[in-house]
Amino acid sequence: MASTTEIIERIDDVLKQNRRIEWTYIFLTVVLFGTGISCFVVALITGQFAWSTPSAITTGLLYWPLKEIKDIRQKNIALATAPMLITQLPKAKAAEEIQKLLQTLYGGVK
Amino acid sequence: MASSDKTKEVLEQILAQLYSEQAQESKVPNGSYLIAEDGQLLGKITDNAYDTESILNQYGPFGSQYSTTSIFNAYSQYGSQYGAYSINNPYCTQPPKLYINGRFIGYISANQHIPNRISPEAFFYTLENDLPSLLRGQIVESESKARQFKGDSYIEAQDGTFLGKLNPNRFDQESIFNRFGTYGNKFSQNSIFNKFSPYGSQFSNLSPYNKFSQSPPRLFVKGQFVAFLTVNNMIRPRIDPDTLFEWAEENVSKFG
Repeated sequence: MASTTEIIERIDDVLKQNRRIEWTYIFLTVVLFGTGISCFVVALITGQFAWSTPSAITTGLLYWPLKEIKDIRQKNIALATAPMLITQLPKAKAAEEIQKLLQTLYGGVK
Repeated sequence: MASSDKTKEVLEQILAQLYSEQAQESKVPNGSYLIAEDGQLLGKITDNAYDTESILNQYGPFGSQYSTTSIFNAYSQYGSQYGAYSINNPYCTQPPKLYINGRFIGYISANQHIPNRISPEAFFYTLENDLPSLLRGQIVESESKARQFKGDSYIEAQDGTFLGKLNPNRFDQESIFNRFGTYGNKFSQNSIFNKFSPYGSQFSNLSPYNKFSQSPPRLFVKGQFVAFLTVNNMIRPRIDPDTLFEWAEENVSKFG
């Protein structure tokens, strides 16, 4: 059986990994957004409005990284909450709350 | 993605540990309960679904799909298809025992060769829909009846053997559409597609492919009998086994 300290260490490891991935997504999102804006500015300066097409596309593509960032943040919140549930609540109640967290994040089916 | 899997993994590990600790603290109660052959309690049968030890408490160590001591966990040794003490393992020789008011009622098992067996379908149906009867020791009499009450769409041999679900889902383990599942492959003893099995041969009285059979399999849709599955023209109503897939695709819901 793992102790509470070991559990918290495991959670910290996953949180670190999630943060790294979150930052990667943020960086890529900024690059995508910057590219779109640059194309738009070029379109305005040159008057060639064909340049605004890439900006429209990249804006649309922002949906997926933003969704991923949102999901990772939700998972991080769940992970950060878990140690508190384990240490503060009785076992039965902590298990119930963690199961509810899992079901909220991943749906009802295992 | 990897990060989300790790998050899920770590939360499931914590949950399994919490449930395991709770299960260790549980003692075999008096009254009605399910117990594994290795002595592990698998839950109390009680009408109080908030009882931590109740098999119906989905947040308890015996009712949660995340608990290693739950028959509802498809990956545990008590609930998986391959578990040594599992109700769902068709080859399990040591299935869990059901006690009602301290009296042994039977073994809950998917293994048809176990004497004094109660099928998991009949047990689950009674547990979920008619708990008072279960607490009196009365369980739906057969797997077939449980499936009919549940409104399943399936094939059943005249000897009562279940021959697969009709839902056109290639990933359902019990569907005849699953070429790798028990009822859809050509090599299984319980498949109508196995030419050498009693349910698929040209000469067996229980087979849909015997032109002279008087007792071919029956088709049920939403729990209601609709037709016999046979190549015998003399039997009505009839569905030809060669057109079964097309017929099922048209008439049976993918999620049914």
